Amino acid sequence: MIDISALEIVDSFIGRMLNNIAAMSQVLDAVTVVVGMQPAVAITLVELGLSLVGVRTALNVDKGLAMIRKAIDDPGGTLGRRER
Amino acid sequence: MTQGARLVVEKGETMAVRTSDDVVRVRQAVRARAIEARFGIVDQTKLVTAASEIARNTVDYGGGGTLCIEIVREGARRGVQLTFSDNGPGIADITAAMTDGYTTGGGLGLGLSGAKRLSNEFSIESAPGKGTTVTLARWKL
Repeated sequence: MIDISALEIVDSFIGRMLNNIAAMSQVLDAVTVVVGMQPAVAITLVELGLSLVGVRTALNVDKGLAMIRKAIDDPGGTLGRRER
Repeated sequence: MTQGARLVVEKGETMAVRTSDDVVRVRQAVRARAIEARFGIVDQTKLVTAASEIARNTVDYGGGGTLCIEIVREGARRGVQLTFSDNGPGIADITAAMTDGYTTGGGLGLGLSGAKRLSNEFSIESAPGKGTTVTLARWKL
């Protein structure tokens, strides 16, 4: 889980880092959840055209943890399955 | 520019863009000017993100350069205009460089095209051996 609530912007450089972390985590069969993205950052990311591949998002740390727990409890479910 | 009204520069400053640390300073300076021009949080974020993309290009591909930040007024509207200049190798094929996903350096290829989408006005001047100048502006809507 990566908490980006303190980030005021996410540009393609940071987006690439998040994608790389997610790709590495997938090799280790782990799920990457990015939490706390500010609304203005999300709006800007869409316009920038950046997609976070293999990265799940949650509103905050609590919701992110719940997402991860669900993925561990139900590895065959949609949350545990890797994104293509 | 678009309406033929005279563009007035209210305030301008120039800063160096040579290292990754400078990219951070660019973000801070652009944010400060955007707040000064009374941009909302979404407009601030879009302008700062566009500035960050082009500043990163200036450092990585242009071999460093300068940024001129200006608060501009055109008729009743106010905005922030950014001019990035470098004396790097220049861009041979600007059309290709402006295409989503095109990169010569192993990045995502979203810097120029993304920054254009995040700006209200965007122009790029470049030729091989002549460096690159990117001008972008965002108006307070």
